[in-house]
Amino acid sequence: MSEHSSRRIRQDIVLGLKLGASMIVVALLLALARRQGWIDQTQVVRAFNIVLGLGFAAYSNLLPKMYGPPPRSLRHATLAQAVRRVTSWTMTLAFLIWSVLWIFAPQQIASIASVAVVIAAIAISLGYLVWKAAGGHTSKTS
Amino acid sequence: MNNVFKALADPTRRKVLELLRQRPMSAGELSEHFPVSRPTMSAHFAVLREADLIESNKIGTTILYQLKLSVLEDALLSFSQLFGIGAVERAATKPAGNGHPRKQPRRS
Repeated sequence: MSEHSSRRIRQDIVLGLKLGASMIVVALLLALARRQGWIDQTQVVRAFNIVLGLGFAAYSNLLPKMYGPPPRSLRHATLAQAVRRVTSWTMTLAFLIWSVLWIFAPQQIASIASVAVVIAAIAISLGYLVWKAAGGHTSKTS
Repeated sequence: MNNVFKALADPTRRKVLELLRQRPMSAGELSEHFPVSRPTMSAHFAVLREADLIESNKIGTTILYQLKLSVLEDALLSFSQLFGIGAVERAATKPAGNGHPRKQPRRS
């Protein structure tokens, strides 16, 4: 593995760790605020889910820039680029919708709809991957 | 982020990104779409690589350029295409008629 690749992988891991650490810090701050009586339990759940959605949206935004193995062929490169792009867009939008739902929707609806949106985004990404791998739109690329 | 805006400000570089959205391409394939010299195209590729918007990979003897746009950069590119940022510049530099670059008159 080249020096550039290992640096890239290290950067991606550090980014993930920073995101995880910031989530834990936010959760601790919210728990502290709850203990102090500044906010109630409902607000803690809402605030944490908003931050969670925004954090994952930011992470999904950077998916196409993250390390991937060098392509073996033109077809492989085309497939990887298309799948990364669609996955990145769907996951970013899904997590932004997650945050918006936790800001505006009633808690009962937000808790179900936010998970449903992310599951739908995963299904779309997987469906697209299967469709592309099976030969969808290959006429231009082969 | 400054590098990204600098890269997206130029219509030729935006067109390169537009082409790479369809599929990864080699430098030769990309150059065919532009009436400019290879060294000029190489300079454009270098700016895009520096801004981390594309990456190059070697497959056999071919160097393949691939898109590496984040969602935000992708949206920025679409907006700049939509509002035609740099269109005036492009109109000024566009070769007339046959699509080939105009020859500069020789100074004697």
